[in-house]
Amino acid sequence: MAVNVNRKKNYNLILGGGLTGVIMLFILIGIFYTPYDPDAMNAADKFAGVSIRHLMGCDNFGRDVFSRVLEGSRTTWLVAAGTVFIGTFFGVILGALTGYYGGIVDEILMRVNDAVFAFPSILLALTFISISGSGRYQVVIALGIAFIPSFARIVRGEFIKCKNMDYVKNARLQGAGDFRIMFVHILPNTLTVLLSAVMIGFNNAVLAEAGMSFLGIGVQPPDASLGRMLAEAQSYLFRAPAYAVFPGVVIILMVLGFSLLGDGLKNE
Amino acid sequence: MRYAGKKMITMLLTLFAVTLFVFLAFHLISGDPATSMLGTDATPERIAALRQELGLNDPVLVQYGRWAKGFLTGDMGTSYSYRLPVGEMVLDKLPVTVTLTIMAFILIVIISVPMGIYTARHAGGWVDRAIYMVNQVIMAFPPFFAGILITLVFGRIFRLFTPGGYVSYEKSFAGFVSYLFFPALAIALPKAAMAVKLLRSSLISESKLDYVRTAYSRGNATRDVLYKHVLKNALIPLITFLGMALADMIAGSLIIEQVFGIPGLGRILLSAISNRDYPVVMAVIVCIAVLVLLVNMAVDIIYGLVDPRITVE
Amino acid sequence: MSKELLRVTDLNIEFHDHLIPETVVFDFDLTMEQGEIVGLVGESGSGKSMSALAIAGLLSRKDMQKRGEILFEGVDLLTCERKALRQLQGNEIGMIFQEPMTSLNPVKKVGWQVEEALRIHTKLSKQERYERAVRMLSEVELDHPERIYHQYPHELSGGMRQRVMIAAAMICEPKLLIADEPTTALDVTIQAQIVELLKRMNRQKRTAVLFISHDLSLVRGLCRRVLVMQGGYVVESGLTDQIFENPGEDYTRRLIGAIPKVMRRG
Repeated sequence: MAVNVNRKKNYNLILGGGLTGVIMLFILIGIFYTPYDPDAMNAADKFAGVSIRHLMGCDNFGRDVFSRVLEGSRTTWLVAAGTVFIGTFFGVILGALTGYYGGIVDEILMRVNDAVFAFPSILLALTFISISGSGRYQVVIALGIAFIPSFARIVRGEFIKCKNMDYVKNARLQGAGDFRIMFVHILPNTLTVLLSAVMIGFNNAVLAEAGMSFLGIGVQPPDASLGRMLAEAQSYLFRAPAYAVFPGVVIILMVLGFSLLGDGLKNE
Repeated sequence: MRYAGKKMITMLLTLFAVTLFVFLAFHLISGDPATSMLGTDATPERIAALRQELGLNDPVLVQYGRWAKGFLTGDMGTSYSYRLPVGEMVLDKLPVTVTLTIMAFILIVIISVPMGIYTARHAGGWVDRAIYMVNQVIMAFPPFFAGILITLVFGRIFRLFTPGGYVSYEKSFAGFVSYLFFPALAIALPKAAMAVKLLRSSLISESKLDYVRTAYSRGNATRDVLYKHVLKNALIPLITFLGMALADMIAGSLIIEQVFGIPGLGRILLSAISNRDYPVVMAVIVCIAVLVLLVNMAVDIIYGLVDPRITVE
Repeated sequence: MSKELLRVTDLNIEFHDHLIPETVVFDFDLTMEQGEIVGLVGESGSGKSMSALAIAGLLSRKDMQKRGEILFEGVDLLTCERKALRQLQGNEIGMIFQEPMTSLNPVKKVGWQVEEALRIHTKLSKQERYERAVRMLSEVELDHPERIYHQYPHELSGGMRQRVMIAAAMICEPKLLIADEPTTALDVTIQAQIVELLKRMNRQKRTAVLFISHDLSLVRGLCRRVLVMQGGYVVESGLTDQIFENPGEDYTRRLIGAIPKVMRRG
């Protein structure tokens, strides 16, 4: 029994780590080398099928889908990473301050937080985009802001739990200042919870970016993004199904890798 | 009852905050509606006259009050680009998005509850493991990609529906609902996979609690322990999740509408965003906000019904 | 001497949820007569709760192995059909647990839980069940039984919940009540009340009680006979008074030594 359970846990970790590793590797390679220029059009190869020359075929402009997937994964990955960074950074600061100090400011901020949290993040991002205009940086900022409340809520909860623990009291007795207690003593203890929140957040960000780019209000041409590619491919779905399937599968693998990794780490 | 009342007040306050925020945000960026409506080549006198007529010279809060009052009475302003009353445009499309979301929600419940119970009862078995893997993959699906694949498989290969053959609910309600089935499935699948996983782990952790042993000590069969004791407790986290999922799905249906060519709120919202047709954007966003808040309130109330401990807090 | 109710012989309990099977109860023997109160004492981890759960038929059958015999009125609980076992549980054998806070279902009303055994084992009507449940709640000395019937567990204190647990376990007037550390989680004053209640139940309903505790002072006030367990073995057994006067084992002596002096006199 125990043996089986252990083996299953490791499967998640190995599979998730492997998947994420391979995707990261391809993204890294894609920075320095793509088989073709992702934006180079070649009318002769329009809708070319899967072959040795074009591993994933070509799109409606005769662009190499594999090269574009490499570039698009990079964009998607960077947008997701940026989003999670903004969300975590501000979420941690807000959550730490409100959780540690409490009081009226905490009450007000948390009400606001609840209101924002109840809102689907993609809708918040849409509102932001309709005000700021679209583009990859706007998407990062829009999604990042939309992600702050969920991180703030998690961090706040952890801080409330930790702030009365003995090691904190001890640190206070030894004369540590509030900021030192917050970020040197308490924060490291919230890392496990934060890490799994980051993993989930990253996946949500990938899916949200893809969704927004799919709607045409995310990353703008000529930047390739997986969501955009899917939107373009949808018009030619029946003529060139492979064009739609490959970017979609890459999104799935990206998200799957992280969620398996998260599950695996949680069970370790 | 006091609990429901408290939730209601919280909801109204949130609604006030959200609408005020949306109004101010658009008020700041949208520039001068008078200019937008008349075009940049209009004479300053005409613009000034229209500004007076629209009440744009009043303080912001007065304008907000007027807008909110209009909203409540169904007068949501006039679309810049279509020159149509926004209220009509939105109310016409609202049933589409709402039906789509409700259908997806029903699908989630139908799929996830039996599967969650099955996987929990047979935890560790090969079916459970297979479902775990399939769920993991489905959870990674962007809903719109699920939509694309469904179009490809069920629309193109099995020809179970005609992609793009949307039937308006005014023409035939049955046709409308049956066309919405596959889009609803596309929205439901990833959420259903999460719900299965959640219900499974919730059932398993509940089954380890002391009251379950008590239930067995009274001579309950395993089946009765599950359905009469554990299930209700295990559903509590699922209700929270479904509430959040529902809010998410309302927004997610905007995307799926694009995949399946359904003229719902998503379509007018997107065209309004690209045309900078702010009255429409505001109306749609506020409508969705109201829906989301209503869902949240309903969840809170159901929560109070299922979990007697909630009311005291 | 009255009739024999329970005879446990050579009970061994072995766990298989780790790589190496682990035995937690060795060669456990116990006989109980009808209407008798027997104490089972030992430190935590001595195997007393495991033995009790086995007698109540509550050890899940998958990852553990049980050898020996548990004869309840001649029926072997270890080998009988599950259905036959279930017919005894809650009906002839009632059980109460250590944690009254978590042993009741949080989302079900108290009354529903108290009358559950009646619902399973009898064909009484709804009204009859209600009346029996309310009578039982007042028998365990709860005030306002009609109101408590409609309350939820979280609205009651720990002591009240343990009374509710006793009411639920006693509602079918079982021949055997297994009380697994029923007072450990409670305040000292409430502990004494619960022990008194168990004594009264035993007198009035002729229910035999297997009282499990690590608190020897409580056992002395309640039980005629006592078994002392250590490391999965019964190290000593006999009449309570004799064991207290003249403990045969070092371990028993140490357990007795752990009782505060003031209480030992009583």
